[in-house]
Amino acid sequence: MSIVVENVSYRYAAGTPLESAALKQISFTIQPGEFIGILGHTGCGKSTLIQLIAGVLTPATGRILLDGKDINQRDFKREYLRKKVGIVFQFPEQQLFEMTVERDVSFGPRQLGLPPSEVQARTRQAIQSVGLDYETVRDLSPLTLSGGEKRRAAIAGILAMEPEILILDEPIAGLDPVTRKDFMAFIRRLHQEGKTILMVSHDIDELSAFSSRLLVLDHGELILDNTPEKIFADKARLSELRLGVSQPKEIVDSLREKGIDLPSDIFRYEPLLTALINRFGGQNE
Amino acid sequence: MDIIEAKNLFYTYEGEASQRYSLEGIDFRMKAGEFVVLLGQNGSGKSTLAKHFNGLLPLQQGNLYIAGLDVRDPANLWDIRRKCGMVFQNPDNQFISSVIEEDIAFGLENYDFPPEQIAAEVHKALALVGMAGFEKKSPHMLSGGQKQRVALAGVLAISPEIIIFDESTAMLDIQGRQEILQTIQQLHQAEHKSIIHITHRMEEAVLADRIDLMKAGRIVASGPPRRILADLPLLTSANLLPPLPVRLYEDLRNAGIHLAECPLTIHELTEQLCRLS
Repeated sequence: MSIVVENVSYRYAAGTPLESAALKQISFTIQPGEFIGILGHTGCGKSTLIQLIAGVLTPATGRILLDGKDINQRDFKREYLRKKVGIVFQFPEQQLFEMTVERDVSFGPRQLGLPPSEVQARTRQAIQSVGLDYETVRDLSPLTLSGGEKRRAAIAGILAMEPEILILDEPIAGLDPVTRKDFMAFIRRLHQEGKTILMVSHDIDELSAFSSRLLVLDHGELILDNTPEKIFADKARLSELRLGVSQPKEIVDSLREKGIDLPSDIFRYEPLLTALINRFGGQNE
Repeated sequence: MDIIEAKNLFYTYEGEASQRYSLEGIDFRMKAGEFVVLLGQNGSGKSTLAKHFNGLLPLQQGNLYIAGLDVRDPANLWDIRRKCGMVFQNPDNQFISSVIEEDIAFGLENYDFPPEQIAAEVHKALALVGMAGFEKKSPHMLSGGQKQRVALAGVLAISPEIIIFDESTAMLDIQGRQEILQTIQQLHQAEHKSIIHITHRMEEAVLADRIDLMKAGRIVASGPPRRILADLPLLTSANLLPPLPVRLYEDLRNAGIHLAECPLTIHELTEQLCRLS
């Protein structure tokens, strides 16, 4: 299952004096099984892009194709999009609405006309997979959960739909470090099980640790589309964009500036540790 | 007198019969001018505690005084809110007007400021956060960091002594986060405001005078960043991860490479590594 974004532009408040371009001529393809990270400053158009892929907004120009079919064509079955592409918007916890966690998570599957046993099985699995205990939370009101638990309950509701492509808009903002780590491990597991992941985040450390490809948006334009290795290699461009680099990359660059010879292409933690052990190991024992 | 004195606070969201407490016997004191970071995993009670300090949540059990004012006395509520302002996570949820100066004037009007002084106060508040000149703009045209600074200006306009940042940096990009952190440090150092900052970012916690570590509704440790953030067993027991330099220090030590001191920042780390070579 692939998504093609083809020459897509979008303007807010089109036809009014407040009209402003949110996206300009964006093109890229999401291939099955990819893990794509989207980076960019607040207001660069990341969330607009996701809403376009979700079909919540309609592009001013260009097309969005799901398996070759234009999602904005009249004869396109929107249910198909909803089933195959799961979208976790910002602050998904604000969308919890049912009396119990079980009812909330099962809302989607119930609309699919599945047998009750299948609905329950999916619900249980989705709740467990986000790290909540099904028996403990199933009868609780979602409103009694903590912030992080609410977030996970909301995401369970998307997962219960068993989408093939999962799109996440800032899913880890506001989560504590351990929850964030668990959550990313969980997303990685979904990816390894074959789901395609598209994730928007300001957390360059997490994005660079997990993504095989990064898209960088700036003022509505897709200006970089490459592997993290290639993107981090062009430091001048990154600092011009004021996006910063991952902490391991920052450490490597700072050490290299101080005359310590380390490979310049390191941007993840484990390779950094290995390189430091190779460089400093054995000399102070 | 401490600016915040909390003794034995208990709080539950579920009614009196419940045994599920979000706060379980909190003692918390803070001196005027202190910069305290509250750390703890989601659900540990950080926001619940902070929301007691400006009366957003009612006192259920325990004693709480803000600048000497008893929170239990309803007559003190307005004064307490004036002494203790709060900035939240999502700046978009905090605006009540589509013109920045009107948004900031809202608090002043509520506190019966003389109308002829309001424009000057609004300007002063915006200048404090580096947003002077934006008076006539709409908050919705700003970047995330700018929005959050305008939200902060709305709080600063009524001259609170205590400012609580409840994950106010969580939704911001790197640039916005740095803008807010600089503003926080300036308010602390130049304006001598008392600051409570709730965050999950260890590199922000490093900036505090003191870190209070929360776990399951209790404060389980309190001390300077150098003690709390370098204490791996403590962080692990509270379900937190150390800052990356501390993690690297430990992993290097396990590999037989010993740095003289545990670094808290990337700068300290690279300095120490240079000394090795």
